[in-house]
Amino acid sequence: MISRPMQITIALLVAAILGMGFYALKLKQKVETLHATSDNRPAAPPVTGDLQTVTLWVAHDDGTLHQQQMQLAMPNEPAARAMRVLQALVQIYTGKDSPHPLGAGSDIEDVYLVNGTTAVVDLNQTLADTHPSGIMVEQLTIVSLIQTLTANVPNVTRVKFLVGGKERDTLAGHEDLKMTYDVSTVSQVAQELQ
Amino acid sequence: MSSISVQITFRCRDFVARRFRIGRRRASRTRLIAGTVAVLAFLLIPGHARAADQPHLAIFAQQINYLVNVQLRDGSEYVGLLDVLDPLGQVATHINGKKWTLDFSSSGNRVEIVCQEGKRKCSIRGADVEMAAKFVVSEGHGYVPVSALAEILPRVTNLIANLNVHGRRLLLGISGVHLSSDVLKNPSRLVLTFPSPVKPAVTNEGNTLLLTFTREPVTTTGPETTNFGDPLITSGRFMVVNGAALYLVTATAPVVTMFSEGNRVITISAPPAAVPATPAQPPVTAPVQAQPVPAPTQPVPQKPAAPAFIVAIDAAHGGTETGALLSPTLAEKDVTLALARRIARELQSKGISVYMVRAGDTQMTLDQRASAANTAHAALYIAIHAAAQGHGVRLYTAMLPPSMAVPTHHAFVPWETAQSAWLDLSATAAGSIADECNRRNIPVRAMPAAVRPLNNIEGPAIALEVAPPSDTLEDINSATYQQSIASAVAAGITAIRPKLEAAR
Repeated sequence: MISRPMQITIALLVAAILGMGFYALKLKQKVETLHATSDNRPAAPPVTGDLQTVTLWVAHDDGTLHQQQMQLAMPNEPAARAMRVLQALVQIYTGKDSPHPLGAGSDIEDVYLVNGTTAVVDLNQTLADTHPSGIMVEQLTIVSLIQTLTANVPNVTRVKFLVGGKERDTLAGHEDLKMTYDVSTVSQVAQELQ
Repeated sequence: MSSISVQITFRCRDFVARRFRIGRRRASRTRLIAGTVAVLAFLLIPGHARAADQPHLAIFAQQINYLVNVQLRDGSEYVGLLDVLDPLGQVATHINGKKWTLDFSSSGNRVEIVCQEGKRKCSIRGADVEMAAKFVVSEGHGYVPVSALAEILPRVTNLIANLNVHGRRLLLGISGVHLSSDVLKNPSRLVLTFPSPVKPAVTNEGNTLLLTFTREPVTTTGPETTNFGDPLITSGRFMVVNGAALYLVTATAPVVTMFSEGNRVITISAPPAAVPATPAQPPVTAPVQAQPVPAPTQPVPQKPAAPAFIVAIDAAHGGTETGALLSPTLAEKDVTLALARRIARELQSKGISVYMVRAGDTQMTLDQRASAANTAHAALYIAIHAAAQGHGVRLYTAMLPPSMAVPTHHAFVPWETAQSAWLDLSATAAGSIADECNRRNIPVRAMPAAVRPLNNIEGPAIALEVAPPSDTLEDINSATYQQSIASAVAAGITAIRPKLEAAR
């Protein structure tokens, strides 16, 4: 027969073990949430340049595109300008109350200009891997990126997309990323989406 | 060969340097050689040849031709019963322990097939059918040996089944296109005659010539090999391989083919000799009475007859490539296949032949899909997609700059822009289907989009993306909703059939 004080001690110990286990589990979940939401990428260097009003073509998941004005510090070099506006557009998509939600961590890796007329836009792997799948939703992303780029960097007539520095068949199973986009053709599609 | 995969990866700088010649050549020699070999291998193996490596059973029925994947299990070739029967009627399956049941109905005829996993018998209309190997169930699908179809299909469909097990070809309710051969002299030539137009692929290699019939169920009653004893045409050999009928002609010198009588006659002979230069005619001083022109002894090449009006329906995705996950239990590949089958049945009910690019849960590359549609000479290609976003139906045509070229099937065109010359007709087809959707109060939009393989289709081509009719995502799979869309698509195609036929 176990004495009553011993019973109380054991009960308290069991309660303490369960409580500590629960607390440890909560702590683990908190750390995992922090990992998932924190952005470990190195901080981008400060953008130098005049504050300018730029036009972004913002996609909405009702299947429309809307032009939106924004004040941004814009560099003079064309490739850097393209990078700046595209990153601003993707930030809208990854932000709260996004009209066209993309996965957390989606970003533009780099933008190259070839002969001033062909832009090579390198999307990061997260953007493509977490992108919703469907013809319309993928087309909205690509058309909005191209329209935003060409609205702020004139003379670009062709745009090619890479993902993580490599060619990829489609964005998320539908939109063709093998082709080089003709800006005037994309512009006609953008008019229909407005 | 099917395991060949070409993976050419470029880091961003390498890509830019190579594609746009900005002078950065950092790729190692090894990578360059490996890449070159891979590209050469890819270019030298045509798309249809790569696709042909996949073993499949070709099924030719009255209004539909389709391929079913063949799987090797325990040394026997198996096919999925669902894949075989679904294009022929309405099909539903149930599993209860090891008991697998399939309900098939077509034109008021309803049949139940009951099979037991691991048994060599299936019960159809209460009578047992013996099979050469055990019935297999895998991932809910029931598989029977290919040889068992000769017994199963006649009992299920009430049609005569002519099965070539080794050639993997099944003729259901049709007798096939009978080939008869005859060697004529002066000059030596082999004349192949068919009761209806045929359009084989022709391959010359040295003194042999191979005709490959993939669209027509060509048959012959003669011996497999015929020795003609002709100084030019030595022999002809007929065989059926992986669903295709082949006719191999062996000659003592290179030979050529000529099609005549609306592609019902193929004449194989020595190439015509070069025409000598015609000497200048003396001036005519007196009127000359017109003489009747003798009939030419050589067969005269004629304009090929227009191929049959076939609509190619391509249920996007398949196999391990599931497409969008519309809900935790609903994959895009399943919705597209269900809708594709409904559209096929609607078209068949209107007397339009259908070619199902993907008839079962199989994986195909985009190039294979385009090759299949182009080889079928489809009057219209429709890729079926499904998405969770929005409502109703969206119709897409290729996003390519328009071409000034006249649409034609008789010229070489670049693979990446094969669709350019057909954009207007594709848009007309999309418009006609959109009109029918509007009549049925189905929300619809039509616009260009960069969706492969539309760019690679040499003929009118559209993509159809279906979204749920309401905010309830599962309604995308509703039979009523899908039937309404299928009906609109079939009506839209029927309305523009004369325009599509005129362009062929």
